[in-house]
Order: sequence, then C-alpha cells, then structure tokens
Amino acid sequence: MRQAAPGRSCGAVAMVFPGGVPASLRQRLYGSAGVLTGSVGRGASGFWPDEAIFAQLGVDCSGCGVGGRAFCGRGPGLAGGSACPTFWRSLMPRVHSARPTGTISQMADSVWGSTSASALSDTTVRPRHSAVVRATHWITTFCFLALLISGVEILVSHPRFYWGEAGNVGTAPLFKLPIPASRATVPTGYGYVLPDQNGWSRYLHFQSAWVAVLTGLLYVVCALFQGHFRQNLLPARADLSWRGFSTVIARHLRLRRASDEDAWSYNVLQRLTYLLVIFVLFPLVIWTGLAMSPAIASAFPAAVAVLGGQQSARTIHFFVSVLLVLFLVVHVAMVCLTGFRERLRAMITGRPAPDLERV
Amino acid sequence: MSRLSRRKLITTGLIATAGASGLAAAAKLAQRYGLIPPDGGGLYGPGETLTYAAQRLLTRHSMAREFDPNQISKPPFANEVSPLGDAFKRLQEGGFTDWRLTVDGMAARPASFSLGELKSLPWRRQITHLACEEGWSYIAEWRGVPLSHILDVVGTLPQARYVVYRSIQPGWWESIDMADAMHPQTLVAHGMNGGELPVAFGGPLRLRVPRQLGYKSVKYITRLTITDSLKRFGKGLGSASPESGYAWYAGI
Repeated sequence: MRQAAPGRSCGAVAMVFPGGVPASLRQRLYGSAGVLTGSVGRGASGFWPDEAIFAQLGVDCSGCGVGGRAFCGRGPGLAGGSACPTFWRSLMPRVHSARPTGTISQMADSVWGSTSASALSDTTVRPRHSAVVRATHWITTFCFLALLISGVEILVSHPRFYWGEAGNVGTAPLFKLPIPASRATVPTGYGYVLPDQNGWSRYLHFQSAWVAVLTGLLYVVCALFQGHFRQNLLPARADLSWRGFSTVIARHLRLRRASDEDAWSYNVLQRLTYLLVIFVLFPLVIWTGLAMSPAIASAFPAAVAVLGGQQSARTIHFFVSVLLVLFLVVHVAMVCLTGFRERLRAMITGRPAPDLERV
Repeated sequence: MSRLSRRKLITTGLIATAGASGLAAAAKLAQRYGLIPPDGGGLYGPGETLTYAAQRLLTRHSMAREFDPNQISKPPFANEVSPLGDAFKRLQEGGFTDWRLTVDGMAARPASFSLGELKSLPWRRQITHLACEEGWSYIAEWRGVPLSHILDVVGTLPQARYVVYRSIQPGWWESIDMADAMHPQTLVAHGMNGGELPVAFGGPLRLRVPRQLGYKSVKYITRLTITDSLKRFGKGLGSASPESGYAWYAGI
C-alpha cells in the first residue's frame, strides 16, 4: 500500500471526518461509482463545486483574499488540480494533530471500505507531477543541455548576427559577440582561432532537437488528454487580476519562503512562465531553427519570409535561446530557493516528501 | 502489490512492444524507399536518418527560393580553400581550355566534356542563396548546365541512386542522391553574377546544390561517377564530409 503524501485528498478528508464522510458529501466528492469524477479544481465544474462543501469541511475562506471574495472557486487542488492556499492552510493543523496510527491510505480504506480502496488509492494519491510530466521534463532537460552546448559550439564558428536573407563578413552585422571564433575568416580581434567543433555539434544539435520535439509532442498530446494544461498551467481567472499578481509578486519580493501548498500547485507567475516557454519560446525556437534549413526553406518559403529572411531566423533563434537559458537559470534558482530536495524529489518520484510522518 | 501495478506492467509492456515493432517496421520501410543516409549508422545515425527521411518526404520536388537581381550580395564572400595544387595551376595557366569533366559509372554512354563543350550545352540561370554551415550566407546569380541534362546525355541507368563528384583538389569529394541530382536547380555551374565563375568561388567548374549547405557545392569538379551504392567510395560514408565529422546530408 502506498503511503500518502501530506494533504492528499482521501487522507486529509478522513482526518476532517474521522467518523466517516457524510453520504451526501461523499456522493458529491466521488460520484456514485466511488471514484473521483468530473474535472478538478478550477471554477464551478469541479468536484468541489461550491462554497457549501468548503463550509461543511469547516474551511474559512474569508482570510484568503485571492480574487477579493470569500470563495475563489479554485478548490483544494486534488488529483493535480489548482490548489486553494487557504484550504490547505486551514486543513494542515488538523492533519498534523490527528497523529495517524496507520498510513493515510489505510485510514481512507477504513472510511470508504475495501471495495473502493484500490480505486481510491490509485486515483486520489496522485503524484505531484504525473509520470508523463516527470519523464518528459527530464528528457527535455537532457536535450536542452545538449542543444545548448552544441548550439554554442556552432555559434562560435561565426559569432556575428545579421538581419534579412543573407549576411557574411563582408556585410555590416546587426551586432557581433565579443568572443573569439573557430574560423580564421571571421575578424574577431583575437589573435587566435578556436578548434572547429561544428561536425559533431551539428550532428548532436539535430539529434537532440528530434528527441526534444518528439518528447514535446508526447507531452502536449498526453497533457491534453490528462487535462494538465487546464488544471495545472492555466491560471484561475481570479488570479489574473491586479490583486492576484500583486499578492504573488509581493510574496516574491519579500523573499517569503514557499508554503506547503506551493509544493502542490503553481502560482500565477509560474503558470504564465511555463505557458510562455511551452507555447511561445519552444515553438519559436523550433520554427526559427527549421527556417535556417535550405531544404525546408525551399518547401515552406513563407515560413522564412514571415521571419524576415534566413539570417533574421538565425538572429531570432539566438535571442529565443538566450531567453530559454534565462528561464533555465531562474527555474533552477527558484527550485534551490524553495526547497531543492523537495522539488527535485517531486519531479523524480512524484512525491515532494517521503511520507506524512516525517513532515 | 496490487492488481494495478500488474495492469500497468502489462500496459507498459504492450506499449513498448508496439513501439519496438513500429520502429522496426519504420526502419524497413525507410530502407526500402531509400530514406537512410550513408552515414545513418553510429551514435548520431538515428537523428541523421530522421532528418534525411523527413526532408526527403517533404522536399523531394520543392524548388529553392530564387531572388531578385537587387538582392544579390555585394560583395559575395568566398570561403577559404586549401592552397591550389599543381594540377589546378597547370590548367589555370592554359586558361582552363584543357579542363575536362569526366562522367562515368552507371551510364550507357560514359563521356568526357571539355569546358567549351559544357558551355555550349543548354544552361540555366538562377539567383539563389548559398548558406554555410558556419552561419554566414550570400545570394548570387549562378549560370550552368543542369546536372540532370548531363545525366540524360550520358544515359544514366535506372538502378542509379547517387552521383559522386570530385574536385581536382585531392580528398575533396561529395555525393548526392538522385532526388538532388535530377533536381532542375542542381547545376554544373560555370558562371556567376553575369561573368565567368571566379576561381575563389569554384571556377572554372563548381557543382551548385542550392537545397543543401555550401559544403555540398564542391569547387573545381573534374569527375562525376553515377553509382547504385556508396560503399566502395572512401570509407563508405557517402563523402569526405562524414569522414571528417560532418553530415553527408546537408539540407539543414
């Protein structure tokens, strides 16, 4: 039997209702089949459909302030949904003080009976990140590093950038990087030439690009099926307000340490950043990369023309790569600041903490 | 453990089996339709094969973009070549009148053309982009005999799959598949920007493959060999490029 991480649904709900969940609530939580049903977390269509359930659980929404009203509509973020911070803040003390004698899942079994146990333990003790997200995250990480190293090697053979269709050392550059080059034909001001690494770099760049693109497709298809974007990445409407942003930004500026609920859900800045990387930067870097290919340019000339030419595509490719590296730096820095072990564990095993007792 | 882990195990097993057999079937189809490049083995073979296969499926008949005369780069950039050998210099002193292009291999009528004979063949003029793998590029007007015309004149045999071309400079040789060899824009170029093809740009004779990067456009060519297999040439990787670490297919 798997142990539940803190704050997962069946265990937490069992704490709140040690004597068993009222039949009406149970029906609304899990449907008649005894399995989690419906879309989770966002807005009124989830299985935490209204304030009434919050009230029944004794959760006080009034101190939350997200969206400026008592009920933000986000719910507790079970099964990977978008978590309402107040929900967990008010529930956590109860979970901790309950001093469980068995594991959470065992307690859940005692509440709902053994027939639904397997369905519940599988459905409700969901990992922080799904297996697809974890696997594609690390494959993408590996590919990105390979693309970065090989990309830098390719770049040093001609560290000058142009705008338009064509450009060479006889053309005025848009800008040039103050670094030595791996070709003697490029005037850099340095008295030496770096070794030529373009052969293996180009092989590695394109192979990694293939793996990254196929992994990205797998991620997007699975994410659409699993509702990953809707549940975990699309910000709640309430968070897209000036107040929602200012709350999160203020928390960042005060360097407040991430709270427990942050281990289970992304804040609005994270959500928008991940959406930007997944749906703007990655597609743009793939597009500009392909636009540099003479064969692709012959088959899809409009894809090059829209960018302003093949040298423009190369320049945009460089800038998007810089943005992606910037994202990587901030991403890793935030992981370190908010709890390197927890975050890393969550992205490897799916669980931020090994078990409830040790939290 | 519960039944669920067994179900997961079976599902994973089925997906893995389907994936493996799918890959095997794809490899077989790729082999059959000539979608595996000669350097498709080794560490980077899968990536190379995917690139070559995908581009062959998408770009077999596509035409390289042609530009307006006012887009011609001024000046174009001539990349460095290793010092020209004695064989080249001797022909250069004679004004290249003795320069010959030999066409052999899988041809019904192998032939050897002098520069003058080549210039009397029907020619084509096009303004295309030449991009180097290093990142720079230029646009120039190229004039030359379509390679497909020469291949027709010598009577290329139907089993031909590649054309190998060699420079007078030792160790400089490349090859292309028939999709690029028969492509109307692939030229045996003898003119550039309205004049003779300058030596710095590959004169008197250069193969221009506008849908691939500059290193496939070998300068100072003297011999074309039509073949059904690249195994017997060099190390069998298709051209000199893979032997020094560069991909055989340079459409990207």
